[in-house]
Amino acid sequence: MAITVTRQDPRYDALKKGHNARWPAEDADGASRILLCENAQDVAETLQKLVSAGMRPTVRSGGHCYEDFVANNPGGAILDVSLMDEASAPGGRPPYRMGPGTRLWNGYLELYKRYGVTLPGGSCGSVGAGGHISGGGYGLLSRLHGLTCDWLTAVEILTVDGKGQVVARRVDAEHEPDLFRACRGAGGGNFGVITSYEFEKLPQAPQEVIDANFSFAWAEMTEERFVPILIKFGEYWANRGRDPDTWGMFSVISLAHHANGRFGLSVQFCNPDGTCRDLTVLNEYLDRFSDCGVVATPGDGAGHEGFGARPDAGQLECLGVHTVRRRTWLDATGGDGGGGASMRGKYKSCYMKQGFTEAEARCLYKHMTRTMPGTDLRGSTIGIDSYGGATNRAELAEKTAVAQRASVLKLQPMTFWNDAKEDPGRLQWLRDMYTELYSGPDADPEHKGTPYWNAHYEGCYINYPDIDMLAYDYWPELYYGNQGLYPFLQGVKRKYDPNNIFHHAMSIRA
Amino acid sequence: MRAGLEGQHEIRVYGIAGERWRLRQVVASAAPVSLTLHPNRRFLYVVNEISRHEGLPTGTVEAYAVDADGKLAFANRRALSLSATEPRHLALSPNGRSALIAVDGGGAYNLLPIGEDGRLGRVTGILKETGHGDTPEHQDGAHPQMVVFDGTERRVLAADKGTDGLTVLELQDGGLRVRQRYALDPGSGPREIILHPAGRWFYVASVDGAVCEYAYDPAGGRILGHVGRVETGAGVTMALNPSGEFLYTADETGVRCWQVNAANGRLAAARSQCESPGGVRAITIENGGSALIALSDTMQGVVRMVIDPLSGRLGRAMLVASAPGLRSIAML
Repeated sequence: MAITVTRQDPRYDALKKGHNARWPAEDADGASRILLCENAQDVAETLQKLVSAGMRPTVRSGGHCYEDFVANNPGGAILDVSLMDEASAPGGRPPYRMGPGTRLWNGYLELYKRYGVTLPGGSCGSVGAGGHISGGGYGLLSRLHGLTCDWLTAVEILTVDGKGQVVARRVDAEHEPDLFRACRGAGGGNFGVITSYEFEKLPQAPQEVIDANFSFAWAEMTEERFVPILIKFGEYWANRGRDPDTWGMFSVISLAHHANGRFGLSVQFCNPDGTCRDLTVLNEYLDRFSDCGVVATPGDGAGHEGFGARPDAGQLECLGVHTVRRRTWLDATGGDGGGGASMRGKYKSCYMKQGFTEAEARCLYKHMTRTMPGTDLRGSTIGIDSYGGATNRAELAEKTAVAQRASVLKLQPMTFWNDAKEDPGRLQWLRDMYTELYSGPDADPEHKGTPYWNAHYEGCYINYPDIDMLAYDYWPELYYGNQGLYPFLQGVKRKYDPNNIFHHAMSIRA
Repeated sequence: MRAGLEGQHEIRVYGIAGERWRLRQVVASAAPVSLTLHPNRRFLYVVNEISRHEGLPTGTVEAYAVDADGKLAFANRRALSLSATEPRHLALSPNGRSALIAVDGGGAYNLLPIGEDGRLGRVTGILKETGHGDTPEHQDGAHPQMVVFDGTERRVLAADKGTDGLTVLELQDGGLRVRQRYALDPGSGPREIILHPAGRWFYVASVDGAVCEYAYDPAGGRILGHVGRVETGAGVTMALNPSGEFLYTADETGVRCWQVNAANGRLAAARSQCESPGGVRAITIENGGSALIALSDTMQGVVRMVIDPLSGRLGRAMLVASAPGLRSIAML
């Protein structure tokens, strides 16, 4: 039986919300109760009660939903599966099973310690597997090993049939393959409650990695210095970064706003075999930035959230003018990179098929140095992740619900703050930046203001949902492309959730 | 006297002057499908049958102040709950403090409070329905069509075309709960309810072209059972005169009058019928019961037929306003 936390329960205030402190927006928006389930049977019974009572369930694993899709549920209930957090291979051999409540870091630890394998998931260790994998989660090893959902081989899921009855299903490539495909990247809260993920095979975790970091001071930055940095970065991933010998390297520009003082460029490297014996690729990459007036230093956590879990661990090494840190993959991966404290946050996203153009770089410079009277823009940043490599196996577009299989960069503009009074300024800054960036000469003329699919862009990432995109009638195409995936998902929705029990602002609309 | 009507994207306000109504005001509205007057007649509530509002999957309801001349002034608009798409009908509690919405597309009911100033509050109660019927064309899921307060402030009769069901809902602390489910014949598709003034029976018009009578316990708030059935035509809509003596039904073929048995509510076809317009979308009774007003696609407008107070017989159909596509009417 699920643990019930009502508004009268002292735990309610802590559990009514997720990671983003903006939600629930008002007390009246909060769910009437939180129902903590410990196993699939709990979930089935609880879900049936909710549906029979006409209540809306929203589903929570790690609580990291960027928008209000879970926490805003007036009169409804949050079905919390965070206690279903086992990651193991029953019997000591594959398939590996992972509960939806498994925090990524805990999952990495379990898989690594027991089997030496890992999931190429995100660097924010407190994110739950439930939403992460179903939305096509990716991370530092995704260039080498693909997306988390690419490795998925079966899903156990509870759906609600046309008569309102809960149905337990185990779906895979042979059994209800349409629903299985939809669970591989369409995003959470759409079709049912996933109670277990299954993987026939998972990649070996790297033995070691090398971290390095460039740090740039805004005080010393000019537009003419800034633009080449972005262009060099993008050019690499659009060209050399396509070669398989580079797939073990992940890099990110954490483009913090001027108000933060500095921004960083970080890299985590290993060879495709999971070792760091041959550093040719890394040297070549670091040297690209030598004429930008900086040299690499050991990753210290300032550049990328996932790189500084144990900044003291490992050994320093000199690579020419650069100093880097060699350490075990586990030391480099641990912690809660990017998780941070629960603050107010707003996020956007963009997939890029090419590097930055000069127009884009200048637009970014303009907005990252913009000042807005009365608005503190510290905590505003754009994560510019290297992408491509194994994520771009085109054949997986038909087998998963992730359509973006040609991008080389993935952007996450975001801003964090504490005081609700700052909401308008923060949101305005982010919208202004995004709208102008995607209204330039590289944007599709018919879809200005968005990174609509064209030769340069590949839309947005559903795990970084942004309700601002609802202003555009074609918003599903931004997230699911224009080659038939969304109509396919609408068919799955009609078939497996005919009553639209699972819905939120950006859920699949049948 | 004024009347409010609606077109596809507008609400029309007419002044009634003899045999010809004069258009007084046109108010833009997204997709008005149901008009409901506040009991104090100073506010009008409008249901917008839309699937999306400000990008979100939901319909809306609007409140308007009605001035002494019958003109409307927008008061406020409320989004319904997420997934409450294509709302169909709104009922007000007798004291005018609660509005309940039947949500066709989203298969749900929404409850909203109404303030002293007539403005709609935010949704406080949501009841999501499930299930479907045997007729795929209109029964792919739950499709609540109409809600009617049973004379109390807290109980409501609801008709669901998609599940062939009637439901007695109860308002409780700003929320909604099911008090009784009552299953109808498979495929019947109930879409309209009229409660007789006596409160002991009500009539249900169904997609299958029939009007059925049900006994109701107003004290206990329970549907007691099916009492009778008369065959009408497809797409039937109903109106009851204020005294409860005559029930009028209208469908594609025309308007018919039924005599109501005062003892048990049973319907019997009136002896004489009249020529009447076809393609009727909605009918209502003019205040005082002196005439029946029909929105006729065939005559492309509003048609008025005088009611004989003794026999219930309808007089000749007179077109009083040309306005095609009207869907609902409320009379001040």
